[in-house]
Amino acid sequence: MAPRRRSSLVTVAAAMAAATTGCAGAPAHPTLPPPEYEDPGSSPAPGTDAGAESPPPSRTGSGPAGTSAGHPPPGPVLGSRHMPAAQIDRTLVLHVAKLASLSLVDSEVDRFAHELGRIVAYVEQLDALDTSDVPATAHVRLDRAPWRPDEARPGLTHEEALSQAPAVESEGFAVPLFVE
Amino acid sequence: MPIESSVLDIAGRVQRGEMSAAQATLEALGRIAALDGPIHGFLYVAGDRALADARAVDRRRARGEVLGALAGVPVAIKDAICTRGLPTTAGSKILAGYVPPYDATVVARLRRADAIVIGKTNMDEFAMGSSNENSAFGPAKNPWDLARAPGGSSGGSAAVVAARMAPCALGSDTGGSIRQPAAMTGTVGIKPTYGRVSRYGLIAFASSLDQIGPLSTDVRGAARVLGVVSGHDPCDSTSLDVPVGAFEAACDRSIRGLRIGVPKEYLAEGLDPEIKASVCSAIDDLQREGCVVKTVTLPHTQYAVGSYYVVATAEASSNLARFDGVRYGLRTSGDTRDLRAMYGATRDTGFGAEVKRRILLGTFVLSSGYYDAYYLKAQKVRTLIARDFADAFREVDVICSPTSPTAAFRLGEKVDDPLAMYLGDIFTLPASLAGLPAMSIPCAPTATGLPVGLQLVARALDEETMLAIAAAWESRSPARGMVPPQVAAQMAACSATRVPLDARSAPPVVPTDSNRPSRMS
Repeated sequence: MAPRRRSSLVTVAAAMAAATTGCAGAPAHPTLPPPEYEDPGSSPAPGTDAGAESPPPSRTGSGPAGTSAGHPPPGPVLGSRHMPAAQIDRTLVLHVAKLASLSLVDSEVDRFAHELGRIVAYVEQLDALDTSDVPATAHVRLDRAPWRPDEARPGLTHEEALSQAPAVESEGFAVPLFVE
Repeated sequence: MPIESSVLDIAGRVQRGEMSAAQATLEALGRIAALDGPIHGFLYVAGDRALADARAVDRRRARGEVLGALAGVPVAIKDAICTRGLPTTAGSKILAGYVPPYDATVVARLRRADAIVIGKTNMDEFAMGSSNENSAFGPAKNPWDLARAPGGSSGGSAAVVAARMAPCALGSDTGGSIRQPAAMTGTVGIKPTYGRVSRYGLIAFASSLDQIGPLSTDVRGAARVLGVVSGHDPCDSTSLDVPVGAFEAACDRSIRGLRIGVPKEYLAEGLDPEIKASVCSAIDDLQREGCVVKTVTLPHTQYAVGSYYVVATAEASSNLARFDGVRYGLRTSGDTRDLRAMYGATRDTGFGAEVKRRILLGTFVLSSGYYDAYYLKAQKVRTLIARDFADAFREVDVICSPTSPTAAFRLGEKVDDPLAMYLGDIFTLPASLAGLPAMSIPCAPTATGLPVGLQLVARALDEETMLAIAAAWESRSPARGMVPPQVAAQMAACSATRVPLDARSAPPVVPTDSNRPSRMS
């Protein structure tokens, strides 16, 4: 039962890929990866820094290198359409986890590297579309969403605001020391 | 209360004084006690509080006041929606025990319409999932087959409506989280136009996509609940200042001459043949009723999954930054002298695997060096998907398709393959990305009796045309009046042995299990 269902899903997606090839405005690339992609788990072994040290060239020339966290990130991975799947390895997962304030345990790092690699490889099919003249949609149009007047209104009381805090001290949220 | 007591039926009887709100509430609590143990649709049952609210409604009627549109109607609320004084966890361990100090706007509006909040429903953690298996408190089960998922993320809401524990519920839909569980449980579920319903008090997943909407046993019940919760809210800056539609009246409109578009990409080879046959039969039927059926093309459909899982996770990574162990929820101390270590330990302990996966993906696509290649690209593809619909709606009034490529799948079947799970959302994601109203209604079941959903998508703010077609289809649908067999049997057994309900009697005791974060109030 399980394999049948799974394969039918994949087939739907594959059939959709076939059905839309060549539609106006959607020039599907002939080498478009199938929606069910190569498993990038076979790319760099967990624990290696291959991806970080040999980033594929940037297609978009996006963003400056480096991050606020001071960790040099691997380069952009969405290289040319013929580039292999993104190099989501332990180094990158640990870097992103640090940005996201997640203290992953060791077994999670390998697992997420594998799973995110597969998902990112799938997402790279977007690269088949030429969007150079397409504006980005951050939000659907909201031209009938007026701002409210900037007026003071009753809100939560001090006690209500503190009522759910895990630690309270001196009528405020208590946190570990963060300045010496 | 017969098995098929609908929203309109209960409200009408309570308004006319033929039944008290307390009776309706006790009836619902009795069904929950009898049925929810194995289904696990509720994370919290409001018990005493619901009964007290119902008695307040009854006192108002006794004083001669005119009651609201949902007088005495038990409503189940997805646990991502804040309810003052009732635990709200969003299905996450990081919010176990959280009791909001305020009501979401939709909950305040339900209460103002004299609805009774009966409990909080199970869901995938932070609405991230399509099966309910990502609930930190154990999944809800599908009342049609307890070995199968009720869908997600509003799976608990769908399961309790399907099992007739409540005639309606609220869910939230970011990429299909109302429509897909509605399809898998044989219920009606509406995702309104983005901005139609206030998100104030909804625990945010992806703010440019999230929208609250109703699930119900029938189209008119869903239309009434939608009418109650819709409307401009100054507390939500994305709330549209537009008139609330005449949703219920639309259910009686003629559908003759309406143009139905069938996207060729959605009925492609490979779709489960039973789903395809069921949906095609419904479309043929609508044609016989006077609708004009046309094939349309939505050429960027295949890119919706990729675009969605970048946009939604990016927004989620930002929204979920607020869960840091300071103002509410869990705190895992770790080293008490290190703030960042406390953040990291709290979030690692409090979030489940799917939430971490999406936070990591979202952080990655927003991070320096990758933003343009992934996030900006996905936003541009989102534009193309919205344009597909704009083009199609120049030719047709409503787009009709399956809601999901399969009927309810077995619990555990896809849990280890996140991408296979994501691909199951291909039919619901595009309308979400375009901000359009969409709904799922039951059509002919599979040979094994599992529900199948028909999805309707309409132009922005044109829920009325969608509801007209939905109501017309419902009146002739082979799924009309279908109730899960185990639910029907259980209710028949209960009615045979039941003593007449007395509104003054104590509420039934609702069984709890160790998985549940809370107990009855």
